[in-house]
Amino acid sequence: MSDQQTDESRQSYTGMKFSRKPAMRVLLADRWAGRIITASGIGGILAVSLVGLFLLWVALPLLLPTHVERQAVLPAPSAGTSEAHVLAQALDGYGSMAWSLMSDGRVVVQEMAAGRILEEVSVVGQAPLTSNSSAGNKGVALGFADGTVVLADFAFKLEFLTEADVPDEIKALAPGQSRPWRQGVIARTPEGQLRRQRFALEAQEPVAISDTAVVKVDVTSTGSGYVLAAVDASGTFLYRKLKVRTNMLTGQKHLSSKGSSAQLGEFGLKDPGALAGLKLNDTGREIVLVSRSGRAILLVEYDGEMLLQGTSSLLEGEAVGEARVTAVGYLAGNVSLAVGDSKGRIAIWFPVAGTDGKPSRLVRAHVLEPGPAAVTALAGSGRSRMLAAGFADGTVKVYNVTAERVLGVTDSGGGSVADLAVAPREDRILVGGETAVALLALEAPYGEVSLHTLLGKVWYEGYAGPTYVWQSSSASDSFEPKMSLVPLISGTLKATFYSLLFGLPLAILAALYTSEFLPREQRGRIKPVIEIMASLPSVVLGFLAALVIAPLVEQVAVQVIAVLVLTPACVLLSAHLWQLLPRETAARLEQWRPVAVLLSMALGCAVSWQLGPIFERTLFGGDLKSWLDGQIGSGTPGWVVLLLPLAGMAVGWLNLVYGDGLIRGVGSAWTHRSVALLDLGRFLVSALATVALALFVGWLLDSVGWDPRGSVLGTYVQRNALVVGIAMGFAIIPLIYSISEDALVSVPDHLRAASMGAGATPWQTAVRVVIPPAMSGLFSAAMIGIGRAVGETMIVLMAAGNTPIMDLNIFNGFRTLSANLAVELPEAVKDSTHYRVLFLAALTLFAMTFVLNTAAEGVRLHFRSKTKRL
Amino acid sequence: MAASGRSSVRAISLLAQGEPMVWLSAFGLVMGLVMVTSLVVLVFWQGLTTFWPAPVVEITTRDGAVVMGEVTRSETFRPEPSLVAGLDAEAQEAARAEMARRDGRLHRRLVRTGNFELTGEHFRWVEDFGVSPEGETRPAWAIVYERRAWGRFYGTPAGFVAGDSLIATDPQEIWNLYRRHRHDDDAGEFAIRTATAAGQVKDIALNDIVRAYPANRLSLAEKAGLYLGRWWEFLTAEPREANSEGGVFPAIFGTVLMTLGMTILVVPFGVMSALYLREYAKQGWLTSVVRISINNLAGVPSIVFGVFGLGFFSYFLGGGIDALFFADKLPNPTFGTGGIMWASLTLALLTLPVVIVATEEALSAVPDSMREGSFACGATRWQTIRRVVLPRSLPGIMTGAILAMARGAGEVAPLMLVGAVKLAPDLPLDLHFPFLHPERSFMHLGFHIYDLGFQSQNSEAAKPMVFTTTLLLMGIVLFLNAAAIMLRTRLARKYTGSRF
Repeated sequence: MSDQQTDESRQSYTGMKFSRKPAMRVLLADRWAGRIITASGIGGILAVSLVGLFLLWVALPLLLPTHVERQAVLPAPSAGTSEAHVLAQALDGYGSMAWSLMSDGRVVVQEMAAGRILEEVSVVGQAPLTSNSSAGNKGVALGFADGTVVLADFAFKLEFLTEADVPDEIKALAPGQSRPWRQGVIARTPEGQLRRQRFALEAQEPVAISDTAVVKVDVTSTGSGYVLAAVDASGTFLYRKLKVRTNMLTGQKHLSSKGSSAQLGEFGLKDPGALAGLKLNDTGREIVLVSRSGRAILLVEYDGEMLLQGTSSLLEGEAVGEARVTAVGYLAGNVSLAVGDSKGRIAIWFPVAGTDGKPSRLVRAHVLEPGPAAVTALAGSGRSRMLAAGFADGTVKVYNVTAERVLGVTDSGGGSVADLAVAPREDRILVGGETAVALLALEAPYGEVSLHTLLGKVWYEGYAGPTYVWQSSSASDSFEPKMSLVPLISGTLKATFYSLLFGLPLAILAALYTSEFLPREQRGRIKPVIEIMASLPSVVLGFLAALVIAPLVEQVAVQVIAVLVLTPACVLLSAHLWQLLPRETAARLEQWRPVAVLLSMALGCAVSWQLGPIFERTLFGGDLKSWLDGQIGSGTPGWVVLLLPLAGMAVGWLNLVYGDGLIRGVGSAWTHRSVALLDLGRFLVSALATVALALFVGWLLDSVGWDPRGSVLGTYVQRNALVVGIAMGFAIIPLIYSISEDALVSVPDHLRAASMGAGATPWQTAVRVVIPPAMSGLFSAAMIGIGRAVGETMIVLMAAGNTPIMDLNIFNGFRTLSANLAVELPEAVKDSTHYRVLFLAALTLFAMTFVLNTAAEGVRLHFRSKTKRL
Repeated sequence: MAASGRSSVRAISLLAQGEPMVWLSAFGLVMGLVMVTSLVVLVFWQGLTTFWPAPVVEITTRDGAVVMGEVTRSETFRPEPSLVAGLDAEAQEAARAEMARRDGRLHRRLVRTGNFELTGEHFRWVEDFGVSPEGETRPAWAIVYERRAWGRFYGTPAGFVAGDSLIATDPQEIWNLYRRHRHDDDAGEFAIRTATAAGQVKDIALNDIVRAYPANRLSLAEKAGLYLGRWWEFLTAEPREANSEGGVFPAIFGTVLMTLGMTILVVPFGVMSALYLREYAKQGWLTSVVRISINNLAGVPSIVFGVFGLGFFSYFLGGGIDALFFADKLPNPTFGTGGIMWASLTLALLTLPVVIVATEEALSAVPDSMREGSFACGATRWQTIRRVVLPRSLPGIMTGAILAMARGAGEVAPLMLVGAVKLAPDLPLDLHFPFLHPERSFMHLGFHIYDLGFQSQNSEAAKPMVFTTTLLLMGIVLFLNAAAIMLRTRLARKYTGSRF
């Protein structure tokens, strides 16, 4: 300012002139500073809010609608020649061509742009084709009228050509374009290479397995060859193991077979024509026979013999003859059967193990939305739990089985659907209709996820019933991903609950003592010390929890439990003893109270340490861990431990209602000392009453047959909720403490002064005057503590064992949402379903904490405006 | 009660004092303090004593085996019944006697025996009852070798080998020769022939030895020298032996560089956001919504920011950069994976709310009268901010920045997703153009702790290192926090009455 005066003050009546205009550069600086600050300020704020939006943006595609639409209707492969219909079909990986096995024994290869027939191959041997297995990754078995079976590999062969190999019109192909060429389809890849696909059929020599026509057949390849299951026209069930022997000289392959046969009558099926399906699983040892009337027979091969493991009725609750099974298909992995009936209903069945561990019966795990007419074809995708169903009126419905979700419905436009094939990439479906072939475009990249699979109980393949499971990946291709967020959310809540159980009371009590009973100068020194605890990196806490606290607690679990109960009891006892001191002495010694508390805590710990082994011997049969496993002892001692705090509260409440009156009622002749003695007696009686109450209720519950083991208590695992609770205490106590203390301190001092002036003691002032207005502040502190516990990652990652199981057992581990992200996200493939579900989990976490914090903030603001008025 | 007419004032006042409840709340406070102190003391004690050389003991067990090494820790355990039953009569008697004394438990010590290439183990439990009477000695010439590979070696020197010839056999002589030749250029030519406690002999080449010392012959000064030498190595050297030996210099470097990068990013943006919110934006419901949201974001779990960092910075931005500038290296990602720049950005975002909130608080503590005074003197808004508001709120802003640094330095969960690795081959800052390599992954002290404690093959051997690393990280974080708290209290004293 003074510079400006000297520089710019000239010429006025006083000889001084003030320029009213600031210098240009000042104005410019002001304007630009304003712009920059505004821009980067808004930018910074936007960047932060971007977090939630981005998570939503990544997770949202999971919930986008899926759809199926008809891309093209092509002439049927049978067109013009005969009334032969489609038996089996498959599409290539690019959706450019397909083969169709016709009922007259021809294999017709079509390209998919215009439906032009590229090639026709015949598989007919001496006799007409009578049966076939469905197209899959395990080869196709063809059964003939003369009782022979041919195993064939229907495949698309891929080769890359050089420019020199092809004519000019092929060279002119732009990247992404394709055209039929010489019995195949040639395409230019986006990288510019020429890729040719053509059909290749590799058939083994015929194997004679029967004298009559083979009416049902299925095959699977195992490590040592093939396994074949078939039914012939005479009603014989045939089971064959085929070994491939290659002649060293000629290179010819030769099949040798051995196996067993059985009459269908043995399984309660008479007519082979009444069979709707025969399915062999991947091991080649389990066979399911499904009759048209809905009977399913589960056979297991054992030492070459077929054993009947069980039968199930697939059309249960249906009047006989009312509905018929019309289609049977396998889902990926060849364990789950999709069964469709004449009323258009589709259900998924799979074998579950009986008590002996062997599969004993089929269970209906999923019922899918029915279609408009009889189900005529069912085809599973090779790599997920997708199922395509064709109906008699030409409708095609695509489902995801796990999610029981319809991914799309469309009319194929080719009449009754004879067969379906899902392309390997799940982007197209080939529908072989009566009159035409339809190519459907399918867009359902995240079909296995629905709100139901994320949050509801789902019956996964091989499980005994619907459950919540998180198991996102496995080594096997046909793995059914189990993405229920419920075990993770419950793990998060478990961590939060047990840490709050430990941390919340301690933090609020500490804050109360600091703000109401500590001298001001001590308060200033103590608060930063506790706040230091808040700044401890959580990786340090997690490391200490897992490698120091967990092994220690495991060794002295009984002592730790005893400490949790006996230390507060010891402190209370010391307080009653302290009351025996003459009042003047007590007042003089008041500043040493925390030291006395510390000593009594040490005493409590020492007593617990000594009593621990005794408790273990008397209560838990000498070994806590086997007691927890449920091997020894009764449930009563467990109930006692669990019920002690509750019983303590109940007795405390009774004391407040009746006991206080008793003491108030003593005569005025009583000295301070004798009143204190009476109070001490009351405390001891109450303590005994607490134990007795807990013991009684525990015994009662135990004799009703309710054992705490299996719910809140259970098998001991080293990294468990108790350890996490203690370690998380380090993280949340300072947070809750700091906010609660602020809330308590900001209650105006004149309220305290008025209360004390009216003769109230500090305790009465604290409870009746200070806490009520500060209540909302304390509440918001607790909410913020919950928020921290919900999102804490490193402690739970290191100290909770990370098994995604759902239980309440305090001695068992768990996996939280946050730890799950840390464990799985680095491995998740970008943009896969797993990746997006993890983002959804992050969004859940974000939303949970955001809501908690917003609520806390709202309460805090309300509290502030209230205290301002005081 | 008073109505009954015979109530005692003494009784009422005793109840009114609420002494037991006051004690209970004092219990909460004392418990908190005990927790903090015990944790800090534990980490400091373990961290500080790790490098102090321990004596080497030679233990002969009842079954005749001889074990030589350092005792790392001891515990009591409850033996399986089959363990005791399987012992010979003499040991069984000793075990039973001990169990009777220790309430069914036995005491055992974990001895670091080293010599992994000979024995296949680094550690061995030695039960007290299994030690033969007078079976424990401290051999005068037991030497501890810390080697470049295979972990430690324990043994007594039997000869000094130069090339093919044996020069000396007397321990003192061997030791002198070792000290003379250990820094020679041709140290690989020399070796110490060492006899292990089990009677095997191995030649240890001098250039394989990082450090060797006769543990039982050290004077206090030598021990102190060794102690400091180990600390020096810890702070300045690269890690060895899958991070369980050697130093943590790359981790310190990575932590510091990442935190610095974060601070450089977060402080200007945080301060400008706060300035905008407090000084420029029109105060209304919108600003209070924004303010509340920012406050809330400070409570959003750090792993969520990590998920965002991975998805947005690494995959989205990094993938975009790769597609534009590093297409020839695809599908190997350059920026499209975790790196120190993405880690700094992620943590900057994570700590942005901390800085904004602290700065805003500091700005609001500047009384409006000062701003008005400045405006009245004709100053523009920017002049007012620069000359009046900012200087007065600077300590508060610095507190926020330091708190952000402390949070950033101690945060691990998001880093696991955006670029902290177990072992980074190169530092992100080196002498090769362009000197700073923001795409490189880096080592971090916090991640080092997690990795050593949980992913390590030989976690028992890694444990001392974890404690020292923990001490280091905790030291850094506590120092930063203590600085922030001190700054805050000084500030509070200076401007009392303007508390938020």
